[in-house]
Amino acid sequence: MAKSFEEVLGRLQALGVPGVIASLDPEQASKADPLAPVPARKPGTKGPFGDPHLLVEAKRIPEVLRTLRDDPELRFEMLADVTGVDYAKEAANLGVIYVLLSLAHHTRLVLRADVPKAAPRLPSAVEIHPAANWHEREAGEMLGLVFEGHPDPRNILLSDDWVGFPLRKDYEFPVEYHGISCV
Amino acid sequence: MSEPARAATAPPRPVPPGAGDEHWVGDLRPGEREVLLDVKTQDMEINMGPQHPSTHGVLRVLLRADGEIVTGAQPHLGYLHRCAEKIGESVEFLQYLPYTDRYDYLAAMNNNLGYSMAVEKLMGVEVPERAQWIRTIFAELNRIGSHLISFGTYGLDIGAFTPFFYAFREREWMMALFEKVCGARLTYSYIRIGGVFNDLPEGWLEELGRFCDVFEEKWVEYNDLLSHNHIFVERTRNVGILPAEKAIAWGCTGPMLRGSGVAWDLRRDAPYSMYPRLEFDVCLGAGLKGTLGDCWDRYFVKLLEMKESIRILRQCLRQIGPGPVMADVPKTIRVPAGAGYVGVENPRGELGHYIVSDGGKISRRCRVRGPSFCNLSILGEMMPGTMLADSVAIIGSIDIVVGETDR
Repeated sequence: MAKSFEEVLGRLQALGVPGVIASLDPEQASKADPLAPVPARKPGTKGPFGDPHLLVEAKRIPEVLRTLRDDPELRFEMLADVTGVDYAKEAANLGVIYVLLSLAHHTRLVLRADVPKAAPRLPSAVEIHPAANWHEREAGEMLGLVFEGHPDPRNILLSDDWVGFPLRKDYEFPVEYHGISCV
Repeated sequence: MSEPARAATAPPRPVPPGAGDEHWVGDLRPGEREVLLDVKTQDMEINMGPQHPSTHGVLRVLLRADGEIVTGAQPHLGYLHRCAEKIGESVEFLQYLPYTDRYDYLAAMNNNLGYSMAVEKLMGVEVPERAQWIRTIFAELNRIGSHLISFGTYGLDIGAFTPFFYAFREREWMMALFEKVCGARLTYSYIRIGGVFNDLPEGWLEELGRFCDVFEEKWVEYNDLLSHNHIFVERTRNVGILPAEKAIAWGCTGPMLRGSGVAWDLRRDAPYSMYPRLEFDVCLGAGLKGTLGDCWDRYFVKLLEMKESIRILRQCLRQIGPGPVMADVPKTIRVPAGAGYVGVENPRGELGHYIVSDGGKISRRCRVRGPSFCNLSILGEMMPGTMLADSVAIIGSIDIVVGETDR
């Protein structure tokens, strides 16, 4: 049967996986980063309706993903998505989002790791989930995230000589590209 | 010296320069690479696409071939990149809806549904029951339409021209049904945030009933034409075998995953809309003609799913009742602050939307997880060791829509 977010969190804490910061309290979240969306909802309250996010220390991502995949009670064996979020121009951090799916327990889990914009580096998850390969390439070219240890960190959708990271909030549209006017 | 003996004594061929290039994903197993021929061969790089008819759009695959054997494959994407996610951060929620039509343009209704559901989740909107039924009907009807294209073009890829026309005969009727409801034949934008654009015209459901009857008769013809055709079976069975563990690890979804025998379907396993009240089977590959997870299995799962969709449509026709088709949603949609992921079962697999809102009219982030993108990522892993002539059969069986891989 489907496992609730609290059950997954409880299991991770029982296993003592390092790097799990648990989920942010709504009030805490708004204090820490006023522009970041509230990731968790207190049970019984109306809204916000989004998914609770499991916050993970960026450098611990591979370990957490491995535990989530291999623990018989969790078994998040499919990595559905990896992406990055630039919450605001003035935000200090970029969010990296991992969407996991447990086919065995019919459960979905959203992970979030924050990396500083000044040095947006975190370890790659390709070794644990090969599915991360192209998603990380895309997140890399779109938001400037650097996934350390990625086997093939080339651009995937953009051309190799594209300047800037289009999904950053401070991105400036190019005026011309190889002699083609863009305005 | 007899032919086989000479081949066996031939010294192993030196590995050509560039064989260890790190960009090549996957390679042959040790020893597999030496083709026992006393002819000197060298690896050749061949561009398949971006204008190749069997890549179904502008996909370019750089193949490395050693004679007739493929030793590596690198898909090059981006020829159809239209910045969907950037547009999602620049326009209002409702204004973005028509852009969703354009990722997987063969299943625009399903894309509309996925995006609408993601926004509705963050808004906490309850969609009226009749609207839910209509959505389910269109999701399934579009699934049939999409699988028909996949069936027809896969025949074309392999060299069977006729099935394509048979597929388009029924698809034409399906598109006429869509046209009657929303006026469009390809990019519908009919499913809106909060419900559907307008109610069904008079007599539409009766016509859908007739479509179901006719389609079920025609479905048998498809099998006679292609599924059990000896040449087609020989071209697709035991080709491009994808084991279940690999499919899961690489994030394959939809018919690609079910073709490998994994019983996973979001309609059943994470039900949304009206699917909890419908009875249907999850169609799986079973290695009927060859090995489990080969091209034929992936192809046949789609055929079976069309029949299941008809079964679902019939149940919808029985259960749909009168009522409003749109929830009380303001003209200018403001989404409360929050972030959420919603995945729906598109014809090609899980279409996911991850939306971040700050409480305003425009989303902060609108991430699209396209099933074709994820399914295609395994190509470099599947191709090494296959015959060059089979590459078309394998790429066709992955059934990508380039509008979605590139977005």
